[in-house]
Amino acid sequence: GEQARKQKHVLVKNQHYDESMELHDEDQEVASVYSPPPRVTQPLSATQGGRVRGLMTADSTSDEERPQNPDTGLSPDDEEEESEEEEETEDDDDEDQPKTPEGAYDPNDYANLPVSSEGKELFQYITRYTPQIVELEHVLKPFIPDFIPAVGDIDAFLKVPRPDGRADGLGLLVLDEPSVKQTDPTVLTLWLSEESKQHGEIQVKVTSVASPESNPRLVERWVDSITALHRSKPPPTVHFSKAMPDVDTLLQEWPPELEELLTRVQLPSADLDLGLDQYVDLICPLLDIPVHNKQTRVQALHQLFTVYLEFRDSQHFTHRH
Amino acid sequence: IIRDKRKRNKVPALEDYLQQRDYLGALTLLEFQRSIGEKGENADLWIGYCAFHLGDYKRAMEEYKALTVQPDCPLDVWVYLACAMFFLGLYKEAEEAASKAPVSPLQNRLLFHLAHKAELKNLIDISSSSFEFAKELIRHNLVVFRGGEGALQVLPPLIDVIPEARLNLVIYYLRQDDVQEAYNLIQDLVPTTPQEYILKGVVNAALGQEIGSRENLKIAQQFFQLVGGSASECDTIPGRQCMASCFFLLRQFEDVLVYLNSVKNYFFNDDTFNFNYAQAKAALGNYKEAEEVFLLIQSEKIKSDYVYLSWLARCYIMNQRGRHAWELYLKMGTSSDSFSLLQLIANDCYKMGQFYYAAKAFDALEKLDPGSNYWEGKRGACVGVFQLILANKEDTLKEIVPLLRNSGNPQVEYIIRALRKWAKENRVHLA
Repeated sequence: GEQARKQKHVLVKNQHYDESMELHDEDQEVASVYSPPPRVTQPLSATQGGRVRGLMTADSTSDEERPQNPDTGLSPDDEEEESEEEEETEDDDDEDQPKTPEGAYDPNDYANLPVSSEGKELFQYITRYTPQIVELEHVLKPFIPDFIPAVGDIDAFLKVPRPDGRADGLGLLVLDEPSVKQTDPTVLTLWLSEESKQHGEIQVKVTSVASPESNPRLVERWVDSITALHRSKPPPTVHFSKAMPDVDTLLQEWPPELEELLTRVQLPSADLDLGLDQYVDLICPLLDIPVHNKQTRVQALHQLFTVYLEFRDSQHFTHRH
Repeated sequence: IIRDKRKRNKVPALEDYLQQRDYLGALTLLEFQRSIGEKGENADLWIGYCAFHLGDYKRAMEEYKALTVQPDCPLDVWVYLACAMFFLGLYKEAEEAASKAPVSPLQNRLLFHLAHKAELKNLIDISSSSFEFAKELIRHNLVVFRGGEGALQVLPPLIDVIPEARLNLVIYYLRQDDVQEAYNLIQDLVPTTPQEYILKGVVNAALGQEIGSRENLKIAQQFFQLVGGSASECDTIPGRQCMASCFFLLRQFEDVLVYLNSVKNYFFNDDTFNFNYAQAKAALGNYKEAEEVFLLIQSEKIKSDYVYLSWLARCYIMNQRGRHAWELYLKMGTSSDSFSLLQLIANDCYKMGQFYYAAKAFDALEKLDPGSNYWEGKRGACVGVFQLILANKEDTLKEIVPLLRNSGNPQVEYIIRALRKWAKENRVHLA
């Protein structure tokens, strides 16, 4: 091995200005044990040139100059390697190593310059220095894979069948997953109890939204469902304990005399110095709503507001204003 | 109108909910009916069915358990109970329950799966409330599709629950350049899928290069080769990347290029790809193309990496653009890297006959490192400039004189005298 390496160094020495070529990574070891003659190019040591390089290949201990081919596991024939090395001085086409770069300095290009002998003497300084090979480190930037989506477990087909024995086709006809839209249990329970008139008997589960500030969508959805629930509810009914004129009758026009009077006289306003009960007792009869006694005052008031709502929602009425 | 509205709001039948796979709605309806005493046929079994398909296995287990203690309980309930237990990771209990059920295809399948399940993490912790069906899976994939956003919050608890979670966390750490953390997470993983082999290769390659460990690089190379050479992956993009990486670690850049060329159309403007690609081209002496590719790189991180700077400088010099290499040096702060870059510029420029920048670099080295002798190189470079002037390829003789003067060598005066003499003869003004 040592013999072969020395031989290679001799070959290197013989080359003109393409010194960088023949020194493989592995020769780094050689440099430390073999002191080269003055004109032999020597790679800068790791500390000088920068960094350790060729970690993978630098551990070759044999004469194999090239790493093994990972496909075949075979290394190039040693003898062939030797002859290649010998030919390399002429063979510029060898692709295994970078060739003398195009445009490298060649003193022959300047041999015919019109210059004094003193100048020619100076020029010898140029070739007296041999530029060192600065080994650069190669660093593989590994190809980091993309993030990998998970598809979940494979369907194990461990499924509880429908109690009525009908096939549900889950995992065969449709994906065995709950649909994304699931009914809110609280809203459904409220609605069911409303429908079945089971007020108060049902314990409604109260859900809460954790950290509502970061979950505005959950809060909105809740408000929306409750609004929808209230909209679907029938209007509240009140059972009258005594006969009450129905709303349609109360909506009828007043006699012309009263209409005429109202253009001149104001109805008693809430500014009157009266308690609320007394004011109710005063106003309701004026509007033909009887207040039979203290207990039915709320019922009378209910009828009053029902009439008011009818007026408010009546197109006929709003158009006149 | 009011009548229509009423109709629309009619209580939906259980079947409607089931058809929509709205198990939560179905469950709520069943519970409501049970609470007001309007229990339908097999109501408890239906509740179990809904809870089970909702993914609320705990609830299903409780329902079925309650049924099994009743005297007239159908024997099949035992296998339903066992199924719920299986999904809760209660394998021992599931086996026990399944053994009490009559032989059926479902029981058979369950026992089969039980036989295959090794000790697995307790799933009770993760599948709890009825709202949580596939919640972890969704959270996991949100991190994936948002390019790793929230990875550190979401992924760690899912390790060993969702197999991809560990891999994605490794990928996240790699992207953050936290190679050690990535290594810690994956070192004990025995790879079985190509993805796992690739990731182990990537982590070992990154760590091996970072800490200079030959052993890690060897492992990386082997894993890359295994994936890249496999029948299933050899014609995929990751497979080709693996082969390229393998050859890169082996410093066989011809082969690196074969593989990178085969996929380069997919990686236009990919900094990682271009960084490796340009290095391979430069390693083979193809400096023109290497320079072009290096200059495509956008990442500031790569562009400030010494490997990038030194290779780009070399490309510039080999392409006769020593000035650009010198400007790279000027932009660097003083460091061991900038010192190394000076060595590169001095020697490569010298080799390429760009003596002006070689002389400047030797001059700078002289100042930074007074203990070493750079005179021979500087002398040659300065005379080289003179030669170029004589050949009409350079006109910077004026700047050479002060560079020479910076050195204390006795030869300086001799050379300057020769230069002056020539300048006088040729009527060139020399300060």
